[in-house]
Amino acid sequence: MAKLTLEEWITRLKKNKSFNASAAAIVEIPAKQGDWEDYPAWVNPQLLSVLQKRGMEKLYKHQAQAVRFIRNGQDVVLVTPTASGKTLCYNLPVLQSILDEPETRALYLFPTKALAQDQMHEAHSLITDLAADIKTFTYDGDTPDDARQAIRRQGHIVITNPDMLHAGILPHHTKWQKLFMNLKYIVIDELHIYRGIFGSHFANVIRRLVRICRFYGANPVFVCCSATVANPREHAEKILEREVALLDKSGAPTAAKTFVLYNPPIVNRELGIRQSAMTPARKIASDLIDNNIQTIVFATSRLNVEVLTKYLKDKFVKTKPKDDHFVTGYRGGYLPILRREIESGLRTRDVMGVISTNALELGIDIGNLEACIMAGYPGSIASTWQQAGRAGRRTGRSLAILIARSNPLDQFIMENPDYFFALSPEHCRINPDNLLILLHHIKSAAFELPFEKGEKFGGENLEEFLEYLEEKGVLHRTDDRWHWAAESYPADEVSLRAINPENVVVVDTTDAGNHKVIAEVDWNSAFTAVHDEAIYMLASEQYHVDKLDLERKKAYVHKVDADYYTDAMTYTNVQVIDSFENHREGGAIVEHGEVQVVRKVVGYKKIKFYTSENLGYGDVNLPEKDMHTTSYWFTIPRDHLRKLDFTPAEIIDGLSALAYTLQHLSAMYLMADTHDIDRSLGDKSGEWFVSQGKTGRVITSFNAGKPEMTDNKTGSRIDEFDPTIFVFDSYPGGIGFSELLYHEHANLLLAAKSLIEKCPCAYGCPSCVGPTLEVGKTAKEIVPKIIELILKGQP
Amino acid sequence: MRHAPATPPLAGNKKWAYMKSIDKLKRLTGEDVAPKKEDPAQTAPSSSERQSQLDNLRHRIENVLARAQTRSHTAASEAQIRGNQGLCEIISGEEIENEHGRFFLASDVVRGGSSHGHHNIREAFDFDMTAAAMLANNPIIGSYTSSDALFLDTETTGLAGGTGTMAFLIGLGWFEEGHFQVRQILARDFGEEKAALTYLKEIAAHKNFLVTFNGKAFDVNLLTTRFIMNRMHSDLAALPHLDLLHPSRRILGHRLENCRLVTLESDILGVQREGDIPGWEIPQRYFDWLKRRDPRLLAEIFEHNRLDVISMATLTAHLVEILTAQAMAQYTHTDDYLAAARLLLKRANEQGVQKILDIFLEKTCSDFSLQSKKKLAQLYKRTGKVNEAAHLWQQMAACEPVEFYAISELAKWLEHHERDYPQAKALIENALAGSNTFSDDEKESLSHRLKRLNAKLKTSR
Repeated sequence: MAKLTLEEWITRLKKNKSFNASAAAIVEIPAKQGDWEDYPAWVNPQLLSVLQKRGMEKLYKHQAQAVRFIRNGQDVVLVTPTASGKTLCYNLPVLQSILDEPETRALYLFPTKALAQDQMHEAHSLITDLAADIKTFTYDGDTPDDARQAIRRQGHIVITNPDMLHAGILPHHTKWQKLFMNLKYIVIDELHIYRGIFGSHFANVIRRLVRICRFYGANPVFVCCSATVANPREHAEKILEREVALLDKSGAPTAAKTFVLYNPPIVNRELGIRQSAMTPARKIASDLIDNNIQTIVFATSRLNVEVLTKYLKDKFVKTKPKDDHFVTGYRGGYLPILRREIESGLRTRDVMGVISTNALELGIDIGNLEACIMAGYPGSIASTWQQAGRAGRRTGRSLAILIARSNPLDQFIMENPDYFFALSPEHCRINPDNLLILLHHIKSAAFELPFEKGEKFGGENLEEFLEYLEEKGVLHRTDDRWHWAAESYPADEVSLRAINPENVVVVDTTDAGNHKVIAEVDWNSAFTAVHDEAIYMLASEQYHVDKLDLERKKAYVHKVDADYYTDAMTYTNVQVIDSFENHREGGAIVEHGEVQVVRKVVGYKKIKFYTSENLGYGDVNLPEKDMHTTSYWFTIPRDHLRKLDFTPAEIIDGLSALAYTLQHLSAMYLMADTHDIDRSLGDKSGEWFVSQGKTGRVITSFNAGKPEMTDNKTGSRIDEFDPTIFVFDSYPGGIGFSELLYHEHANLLLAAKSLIEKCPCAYGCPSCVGPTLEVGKTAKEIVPKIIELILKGQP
Repeated sequence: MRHAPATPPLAGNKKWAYMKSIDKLKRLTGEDVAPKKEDPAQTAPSSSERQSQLDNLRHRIENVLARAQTRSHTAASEAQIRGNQGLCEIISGEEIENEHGRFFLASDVVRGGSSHGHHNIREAFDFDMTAAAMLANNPIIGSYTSSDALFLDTETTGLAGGTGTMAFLIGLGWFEEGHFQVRQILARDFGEEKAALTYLKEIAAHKNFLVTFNGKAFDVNLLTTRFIMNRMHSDLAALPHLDLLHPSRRILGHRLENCRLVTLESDILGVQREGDIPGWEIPQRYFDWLKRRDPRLLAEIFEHNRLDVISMATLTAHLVEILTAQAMAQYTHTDDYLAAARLLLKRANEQGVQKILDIFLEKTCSDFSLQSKKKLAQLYKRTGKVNEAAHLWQQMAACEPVEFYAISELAKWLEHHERDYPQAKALIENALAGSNTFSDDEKESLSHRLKRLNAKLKTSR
């Protein structure tokens, strides 16, 4: 059979009836002409000739602009698509500056070690061509000890990650005296990665960095690069705490692209279950690769990467038996050397198909692929465009296919292609003044340099913190300075990326003589994932949890072959502590503010595989967890709800279903992970709350701090409180999501309504209101009515 | 930041909004009690009324706090003065002032005649500088005298390293006219660090090289950081540096459980500390001093540091003595010499090795001598210096009763290297006939060799 070109393949695809039936949208994005400008006159002739020899005859307009700004000492944030030559925007002024003044130093920050390596190679190859004495190094956990001293003294361009800056460089800044004294440029690439908790930590690391620079008399220029997000400038300014110029008009040409949104057909209308996204991903990918069209597939988990890789390898093993890399996986756990091999294989087209986690989403150079398949919505529109951008970099046509899964986010995109193709609505949110995060970094900063009276750090009153730490015996005040006066090393006490640095390790005791650590579970998930008697699943193996030892932070498990899994039952009780803002809108009172959340795992259900039958219950005895955080909530007066023509039990089910939908949609609006946000249904005083009990939904009264979990059949108490839906930050102190949700209240509800109404399931499904088993059969019918009531005050 | 409610608040506990952020923090970290519910019977005043009430209250509290603070400040500075006076009473020293402030300096002279463990100070004083240079692997040191050495040891606020660790006590020592001078610079508070470091710089300016124990990795590194933190320039790290840790490990490590200075003291130098403060307790003692200003907290640290500095001086002397083959035999082990010889071989110092060898010549047949010779011979053989090894074997073969090792090695050498079969034959025959310590196996092995030699002698004829 003759091979098809991508162009022909797409034409054939468009004629395929069954494909068209499932395609939610096929959009043609036209090619765009480039916009060029001459190099500035000050560029070193040798540097100029190296760049021109590499085919960069002229600069793109945005590059020329960026280079000019940076040269003039203006802090900038660059927002242009993949392959628009962002790297040159900073490499050019940095190299020029080192050529002018050999003592000049630059610090590059990348979120991952792999990206840092990639950048080092790129800068290194430029420098080699330039034949200049410029040294560039990566500095991270893998850097050998004997190389570190040379890097500190001699590295002109030091490429590192925020974690290393936080724990390895800033607390030892005196060893980096040479770098800090001559630091002229700080590059922060992939700025959009620094959002939520990680971003809030990161902003504080930058505060510390700026403080150390000031100590050495340096005032470096910041160059930030970001993928398309709604608020790049605001985000950059929040992180840097200074004004930043935004450059977001790309002058790079782009190829034409066919973008397909594909929603797999429904296989069970009752339960609203669709075909798995993996099935079409596998079929389309193998057909593309068969036609010699180089393809990248993004899967949403490491496990899915492995499964898809195995399927595709099995298929091509007949035609390409010896070529192990013809189709390959790619993810974080692979050894660096293997990853380098795959990357270069992609550039030389020896690798024709790669299945990756989002590890390949960021700017690692893998050349120009032709087709990109996303098996599942990557979680944010920015990520989707980054991934789609991996196919078709400058010329020719490229293809991107987004295949939806059965969750509300994916389905929302499928139902609202216009929304998707319109400008990115996602905001990067951070809250650097989250009190707990701020406290950690004030400690680290005090370790680095004593605080002086009148100094500023963060948006809160610094002196209060210093006095507090003095009281704790961590700082010692002498005259008007606070010195670090403890033996500990504060940067080790906090990890920038994890919510809680404490993890529970999962120990496999199947082989009595050879206990093995098989996984780590973060502290918060441990309560629901590895409680006593739970079934813990890892790489499709099942393990029975024999004992969760909270003190030693270990869960002991052994391998089993059970026909069920377990689902923890938790109760979440939210009590309002303070309302920052509120207003009445339609039939509800909308607020945001500070809340206290109490969570407890009380038991678990055993659920049979495939049939989802409930096989029984067990009790779990774990301590309660208590946290203060910020929340957005709204309250619907019970009188209003009475107007609905449903039983109280059905109304409660409907409200729970609405909370489910809102949590998922909020995650999309906030560009957050669904685990960063949580929900609860109860009343504002925290006296009543609704939770999932053994026999269905129960309302629990929470009196004098003691829950009475009586298995009261739903509804009998609906008249006793005004139901409130809380959507809150899952991090103590909050990340600042709630204020944005407060302002998006009406949009959120309208989006929820549209999602539910457009969902083709019969009675509700995980794509809209949640699984029918949990929310009841009437949920799908009642939720739009409740939304009407909330927005208009009338049913 | 936080928005004041636009409309009158609907409900909720309003205390939170007016809380200081630190109180919120305490609540977040669980240090505060859970929020109490307001008594519903109590009618809440309107927000503006409450605001002014609160303002008023806050004002009053602040006044009270300000008074208390002044009082506590005075109390604190009184305690500080009392603490500093107490220090002068229990430690012999004085307050010193320079352009950067004040600090406390303790002074002590260890008289030449007084002993520290097995050594007395006068003996320690005049150590061989070539050997010291060899220990440091830095020939420049060879051109100085022992009075040019600055012994240095610090006590710090932690072992974590990094910019948040301070050296609050800097112990210094040097030889002067046959005595050993000890100075201990104490920063009585963080604010005195700059003055203390300035004084250290002045003393270091008169000395030519440093002697420390693990100072390369720790003390000097840390002090360099402290100079930078105080915006001072320092040449300390550029001074030639004899770090005793490495040669101690090399020469004495083979018979020690660990290579800590206290272990070296008790096992090698014969110094027994009584009631010594364990090192891990030191940082907390200093933090306690900062709070309580009780000088007794520091007294043991001063003594601990003083002993460290003096021990470094006798340790240097001891290591030099081993290297120059002059150590007191009763405190020295054969293997020490062997390790020293190995070090000298590495530094290509044949003369030094020979000197060590000479010790064993004096008491030719003692166990000590025989074992040392055996090990040295093995070392020579390994490094290809077979003739030097043979020289030792010959010496050993002259000691009765003869040992198998010396006879068999020498016989092999004569047979294969010198090809002197008759002499090899004679050696074995004499050994078998004379007084020896051979086992049956060893006898058989030698007889076997003898047979082969006889055969060789026949054919060569």
